[in-house]
Amino acid sequence: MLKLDLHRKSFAGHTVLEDIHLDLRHGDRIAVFGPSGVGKTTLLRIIAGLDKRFVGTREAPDEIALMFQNPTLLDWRTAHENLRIFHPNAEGRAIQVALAQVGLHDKADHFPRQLSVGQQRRLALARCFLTPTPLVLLDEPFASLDQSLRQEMLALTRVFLDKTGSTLVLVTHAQDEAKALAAESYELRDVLQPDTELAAL
Amino acid sequence: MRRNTGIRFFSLGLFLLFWNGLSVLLGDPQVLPSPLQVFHEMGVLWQQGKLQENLVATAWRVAAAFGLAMLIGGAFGYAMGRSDGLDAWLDPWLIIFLNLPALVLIVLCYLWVGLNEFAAVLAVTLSKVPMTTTIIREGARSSSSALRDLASVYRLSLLTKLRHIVLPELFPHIVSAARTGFSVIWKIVLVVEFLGRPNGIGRQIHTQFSLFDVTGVLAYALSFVICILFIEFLIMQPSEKRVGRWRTDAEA
Repeated sequence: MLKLDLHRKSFAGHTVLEDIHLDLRHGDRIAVFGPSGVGKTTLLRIIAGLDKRFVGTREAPDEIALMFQNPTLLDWRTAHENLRIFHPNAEGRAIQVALAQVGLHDKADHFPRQLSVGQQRRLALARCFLTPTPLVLLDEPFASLDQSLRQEMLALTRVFLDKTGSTLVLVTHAQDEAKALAAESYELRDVLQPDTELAAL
Repeated sequence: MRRNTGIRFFSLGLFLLFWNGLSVLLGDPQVLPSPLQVFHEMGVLWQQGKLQENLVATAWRVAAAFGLAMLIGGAFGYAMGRSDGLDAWLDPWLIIFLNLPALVLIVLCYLWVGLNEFAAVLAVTLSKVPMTTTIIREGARSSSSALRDLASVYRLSLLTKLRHIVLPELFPHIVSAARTGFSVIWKIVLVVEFLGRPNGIGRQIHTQFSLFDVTGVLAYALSFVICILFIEFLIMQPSEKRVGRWRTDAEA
């Protein structure tokens, strides 16, 4: 499903990631921890196929869903169009359902800037899960949210993941997020190793 | 807003009044005719069909050079804004062309290509391309890499990316390039016509100049300015408002 043999990734001669081996099956969920600047986002970009300049091999499905900390919406397109453009094969009805699932059923014609921060995040979440993809990559999507919104987003994500059965790679700083999504915790230091301590928390 | 519109019209009236006063003060229509005399001359030229004929000739050159400059400058600007390597290679060229006076380009084009329509449009296009390139390059540099990443992961087609991401993101810069481009291009077109075309507003100004006919010069120039103002108010501003709807709504 997802197989990554990363021997080395370097920027301008400086090695950032080394000897990381991932072998995930369908439905596996992992959370990657680590201090800032350790290369978590770089790893996620390699998994997503956005960064191809590394030594090693990558096997991943063609269809991947991705979500960043920033909602990254098309500010100049309506909520409905924001979903349709990224999922051209989705039917209008499916888009309406997806909007309703994140509580935006009456906001289809609104532009992102007319939505609250929470609504923008939920729209980004709907885009991520509109059509089931085998692999979902989340890059700190719950960071810098207030507590209630964070809990709401986590709960929604959990529902979507349970429904689609997608494989998850979550990059995060917060341990409770891994727990909330039932993801196995890994610490990214020099090598990606199962972090029993964190998993036990 | 309505009050501002009133001020604008009043200010325009004051300008015409000032012009009229100056013309009366000088007392010589051959040096400075009154606004009425110029408007009358425009009417006469219109009835003779000369005004329309030359306006169309000039407008065609403006449109062709404008379209080409936007396309070529847009493509170069976007490519340079996205690729540091390409930018390093092409930036010195850009600086040279930015500082090459339009007059030099016009003379060289006429000398090398010949006194023809192609050379005229080429000269105007070349003198505008560097400016468009510079403006669009800025837009491309400030475009969101996260959106590009997302488009790449979701495998959006080239056309979708262009239509829904690249062009809307660049839109403010495209408008700014179009605005400055339009105002600069029509002035350069007049020089091109002045130097080597058998028709157009520039050529007519050349003719009126050799006849020492200030009224004729003003009549042709003013009619073109009026056309430009129409384009500004009837095409440029409404389309800008329509496409920028998502911005204004956000503030409401």
